[in-house]
Amino acid sequence: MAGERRQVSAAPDADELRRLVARIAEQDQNAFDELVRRTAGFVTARCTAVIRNRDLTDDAVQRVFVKVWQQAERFDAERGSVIAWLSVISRNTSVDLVRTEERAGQRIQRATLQMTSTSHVLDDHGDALADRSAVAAALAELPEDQRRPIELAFFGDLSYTQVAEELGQPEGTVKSRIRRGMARLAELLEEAR
Amino acid sequence: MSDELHELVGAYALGAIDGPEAEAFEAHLETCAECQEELFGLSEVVLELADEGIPEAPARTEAAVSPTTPVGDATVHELPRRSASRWLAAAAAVAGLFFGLWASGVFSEDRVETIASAADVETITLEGESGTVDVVLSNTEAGVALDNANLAALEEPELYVLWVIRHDGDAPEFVGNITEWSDVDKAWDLSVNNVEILAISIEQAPSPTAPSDEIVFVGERRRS
Repeated sequence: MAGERRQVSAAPDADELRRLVARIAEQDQNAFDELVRRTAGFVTARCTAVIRNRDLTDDAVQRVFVKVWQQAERFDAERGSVIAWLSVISRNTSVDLVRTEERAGQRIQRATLQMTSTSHVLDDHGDALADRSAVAAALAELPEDQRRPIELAFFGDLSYTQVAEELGQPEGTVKSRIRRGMARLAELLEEAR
Repeated sequence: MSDELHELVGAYALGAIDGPEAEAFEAHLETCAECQEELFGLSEVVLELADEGIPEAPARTEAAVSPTTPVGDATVHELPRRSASRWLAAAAAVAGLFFGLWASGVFSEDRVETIASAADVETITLEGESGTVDVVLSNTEAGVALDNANLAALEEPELYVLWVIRHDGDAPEFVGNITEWSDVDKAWDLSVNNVEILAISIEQAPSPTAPSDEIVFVGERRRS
């Protein structure tokens, strides 16, 4: 699996991204294609973080890039950050899409799991992860105090403040541990490449 | 405060921050090259975690949209079962295909047609001194469109701009520029669920942040 992964960790040069967006504002399709090539993984990750559903995420990614095309002329090509701009568009688009799905009664599946079931789910999931992938192996290498908040946040779909409450730890401690744990995961995945 | 915002980058990458705090982090992100670099570098981690999927879990998506929603009222997410590389390939392919259709003009017209023929399509008639303009919108399609609209011709650099107001008293929100005058077929992706008022102004430059005083058409959405 490690051999299948593509590297998306190297951030493109900020000035180059700004130039691409400036060209997109001039309706340059080549620039658009290049921006998609460089940032599709990033945008997909940002949408995934909100939506967690493949079909909806694909839809969200489409919408994000359409907005990029439509709104490029509004981007401040002198000072703006393309990464921050894409982040905002991705999150807003994803949240809007989820709202639309909810209001249209088209949500994917529903359940009424209780908070108390979270640990059970995560324990089961943790077992299932064993030896399955590079990220599972990387997670297993994290210290417990970093791994647990990440699992609760991502697999348990909790905010970091909810994670703090669940673990009985200060919010500041939890967000720092998530940050350190995520950075370590990125390093471990890079080493496994 | 800046250090505190730096610390949020991991939680933000995971989607583990609710609305107002996410907005605060995004404002910080705009000017923080370190966080931009770090966030971008965490993309693969997020995609790989998503690739692992989850069998069942309480969802916070609804809580993110509506912070007061109890976590117990949850959604089971159907996480993708594919590798990060497949995510990337799919995203790029989908965007490329989509753009190709759209750039060719096929999609633009299709999008207008899709919105205009949506089951929940609403036609809002904007009224002005020179006549009326119909705007169609759809909640389920999350879009708004001009369907074969005709406007009085303007002279450059003037153009029309479509605005929406979501709640009475809110500032107008820019939707899009209108640079054609006759038989205008133009669609914009927009969440329109809470749009209450639509307006068209005449502007001297595209994509203004606020409308000029020259509002030429206004219409109110009928709420059922």
